[in-house]
Amino acid sequence: MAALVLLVLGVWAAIGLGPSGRAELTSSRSTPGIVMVGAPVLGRVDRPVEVSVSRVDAGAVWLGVAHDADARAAIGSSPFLSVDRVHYPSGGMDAHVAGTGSSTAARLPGGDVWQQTSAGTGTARLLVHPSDVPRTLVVTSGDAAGLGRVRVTLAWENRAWFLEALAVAAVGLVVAALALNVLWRERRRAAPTQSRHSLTRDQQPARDRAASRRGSPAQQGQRGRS
Amino acid sequence: MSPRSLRVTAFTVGAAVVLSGCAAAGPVVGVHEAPAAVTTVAPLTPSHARDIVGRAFTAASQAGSAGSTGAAADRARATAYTGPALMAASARSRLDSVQPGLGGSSPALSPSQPGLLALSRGFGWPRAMVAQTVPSGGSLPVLHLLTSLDALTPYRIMASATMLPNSTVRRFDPLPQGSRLLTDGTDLAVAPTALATQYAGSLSFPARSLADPAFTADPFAGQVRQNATTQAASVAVQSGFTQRHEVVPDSTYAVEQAAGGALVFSVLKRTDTFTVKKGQSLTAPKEFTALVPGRKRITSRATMTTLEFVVFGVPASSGDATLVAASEQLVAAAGS
Repeated sequence: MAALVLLVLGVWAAIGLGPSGRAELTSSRSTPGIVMVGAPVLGRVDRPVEVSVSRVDAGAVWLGVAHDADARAAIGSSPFLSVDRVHYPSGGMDAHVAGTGSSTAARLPGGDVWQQTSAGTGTARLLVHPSDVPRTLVVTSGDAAGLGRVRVTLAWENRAWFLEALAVAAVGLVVAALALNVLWRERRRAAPTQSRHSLTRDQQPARDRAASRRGSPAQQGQRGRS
Repeated sequence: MSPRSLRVTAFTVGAAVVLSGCAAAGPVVGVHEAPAAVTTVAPLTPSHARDIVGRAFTAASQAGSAGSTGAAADRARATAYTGPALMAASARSRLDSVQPGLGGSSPALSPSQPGLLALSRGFGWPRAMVAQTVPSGGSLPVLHLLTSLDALTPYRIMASATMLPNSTVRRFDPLPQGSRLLTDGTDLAVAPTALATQYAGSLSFPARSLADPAFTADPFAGQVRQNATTQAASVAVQSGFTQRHEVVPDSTYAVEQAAGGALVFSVLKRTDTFTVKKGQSLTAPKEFTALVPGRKRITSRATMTTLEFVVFGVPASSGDATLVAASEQLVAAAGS
């Protein structure tokens, strides 16, 4: 059973990832002006993560990556949507709104804490490389206008994942084949034994019937009386 | 090995492979816990820090370039400077607009390529960088302090001072490691703020005696005292003259050096006060008239405010601090 699960999962993951090994998660949310994708999301996979943010109203989008402590200091008590965790393969994103103070959204791009930034109209993208320090990505409009509803896409790409999915499927296939083979052989071994206990006398092979005729005197006596 | 034993072995190996594969899935696909925070390093990479320093000095150069006036120059100054250095740069621009060269040669406007000497360590605020420029023409090097008060405020030049002849600056920890800010006086022979306060008191005019100073004698202090004496003598008939020095609040920063001790930056505000005697008057100097347009004679009282940027080398455990750099800039005047 486990082998079949591995086989199905492997094939399914390989199809989902594709030959490029791309895992993509998307969520559409209303924001209070700032979105924060925290270190537990960005730093969980040792591959670059491509973050793409699109505004429904095609307004300005600004992305910045900073050390986690710096990003949180910049946001301060501003209201923000925090993306805390992502789920693969379901594609879900756990997020919550925090902060009740006045917003620093318009001033965020002015600081020197940002190690990478990107800005665009309607959409902005940033490729965040793995780091040995926790880093956080912040999204805002970069001006006094709010951010509104945004579509956040996180994508990791690793060709090895596709190959690993194929390997899982292959392991599942091999183990399943072995298991089926064992079952088949067991079934074949069980079949003759079972037949000796269940076949009628007429269905028994001639050799067996001859053996029966050389049976015990009691049997012969019974047959003679019939 | 019997066929039954063979089957059991194969099944065991297969199960082990499957189970170990599941257990190793995380490392194999590269999924792990997010890295933990490390706070004992510089918050910026050296290349990022150099970009920031370059931006500040480019803006300073634009603000100080000939003919750079108006809103564009103000924006450039605001990009380059903050706090006392911004006040000094703005005043210099104002003085130069009246008469080129009147504002003096502010070391902050040095056009040469800056070198980054130190970055503050850790992720607290405020943060600081120490940079050095060597003006063209073989002048003495200039030390600069750039500060960022919080995560929303960029680094800007807060203080600049020209090194004194024969002075040296001991090296700092490597840039990626960062240097501790010891502004609270930790691990220093004298607390930086106490040192600056004591030094400011020693410069006052009329002079006050100072018992057991925490610093050695230096040519800058001698020059300030000499100028005050000369000034007082030159206006003695018309007015009284006093000079007061005080530490500008939040202007003192101490950056730890690799072998112990620290380089301490501080800004002093010098107030020259002229109290005109009854029936007398003073002819206002050009600098005064530039800052107080239309006022050419002083008949009652006048003050001129100058910022003094000083940099000390402070030892770790014992010994006196040494002034290694100093510059001054007239920034304000008032009088009637």
